[in-house]
Amino acid sequence: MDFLISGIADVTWQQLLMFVIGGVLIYLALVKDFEPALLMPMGFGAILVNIPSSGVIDQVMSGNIQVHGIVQWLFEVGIEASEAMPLLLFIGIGAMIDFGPLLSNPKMLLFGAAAQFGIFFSMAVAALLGFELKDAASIGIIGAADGPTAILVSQVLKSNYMGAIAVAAYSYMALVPIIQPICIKLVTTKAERRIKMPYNPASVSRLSRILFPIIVTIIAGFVAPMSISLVGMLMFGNLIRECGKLGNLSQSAQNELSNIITLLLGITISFSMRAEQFVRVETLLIMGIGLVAFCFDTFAGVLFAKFLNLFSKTKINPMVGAAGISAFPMSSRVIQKLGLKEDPTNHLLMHAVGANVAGQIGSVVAGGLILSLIVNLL
Amino acid sequence: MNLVYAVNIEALEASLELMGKGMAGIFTVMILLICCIKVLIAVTKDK
Repeated sequence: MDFLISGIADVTWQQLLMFVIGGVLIYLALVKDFEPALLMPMGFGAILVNIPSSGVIDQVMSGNIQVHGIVQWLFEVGIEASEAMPLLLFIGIGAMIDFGPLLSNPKMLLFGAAAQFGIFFSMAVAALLGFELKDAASIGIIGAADGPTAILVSQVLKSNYMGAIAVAAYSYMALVPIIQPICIKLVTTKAERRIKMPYNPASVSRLSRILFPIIVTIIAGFVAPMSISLVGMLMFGNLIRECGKLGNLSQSAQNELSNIITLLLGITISFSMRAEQFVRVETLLIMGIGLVAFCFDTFAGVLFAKFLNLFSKTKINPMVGAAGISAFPMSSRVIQKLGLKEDPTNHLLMHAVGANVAGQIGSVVAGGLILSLIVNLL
Repeated sequence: MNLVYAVNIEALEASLELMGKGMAGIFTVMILLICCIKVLIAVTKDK
């Protein structure tokens, strides 16, 4: 009758802790509404992979019988082999994005650049705390505020902490409505938050909308060739949306493709949440550094806007700079809400959306640049 | 278990180098895109 209790007898305290962590992620997803599409599968997957001799990961049974587990297979094929899952998800994300507000006000792209500073700052913090360069870079990419980018970069760099990085990235993306207002208020005055920005968009032709994703891909590709997979898939999805001839494909990319990949991605990532990989002091450090990354993204975006105001006759509301983070559309809604709170007649949404979608481009370019540059440093 | 983490000097120097090059690279891409978009909007304006 030993076989009935061998599973319970083999469980370690680290695995029990992972059950609790899995439960917490499920709670955050379902009760607090924190990125439920990713955190719920990750939480459930954390429980699945931490059951002793779990059948969802490869096992060698007595008699030397090899059993292949589905979660491990999904990970090896969907992420390890060529980062297929995050890249395919980017097609769906690209199909969902409307770059119109950005095209009508292209200087918002500068905020999409400035708000990536947190990535590099937190990379330095991670190095300061003793992490190797590849792990420091993978941890820093949490500041991209983009799950697929974080997963892809940490996988390509063969980071030892992908599970913690994914949990941190998705958790903090859900916490943007709490993190950003606090950070913004720390570096702005009430008068600055009340700066009005009228919205007078330039008209954007359909041809511009079609050429934009092609141009972005070419420019980003020449500057950072390793970003092509990320930028290319994002822009491919956008081109399907904007070309006007592929309505069904655009709908499929936005709905079926995105939903299927999202459904599988969370549970696949849980492969890197096995106790021996996740239950370490470094996981706590990564959660802390991830928060630093998000905060400094916000600080940098706001301070860059204040810097531009020194030279600009038409003042920019510095809060719009904070929307340069890639957490779309949450960040733009946060800025709109903060703007209305300071002045109920000040609608910042369209400016913030422009900066927010610029941040989407900025984060994938940042990810690609890190991969391109780090190859020479390792 | 080490409770005090030694600064990884090599990684710190490399990450500072990456910071400079990375931010320069992102801004370069964005400035190029701004120029392209302005030209694109001007050239494709509906008359």
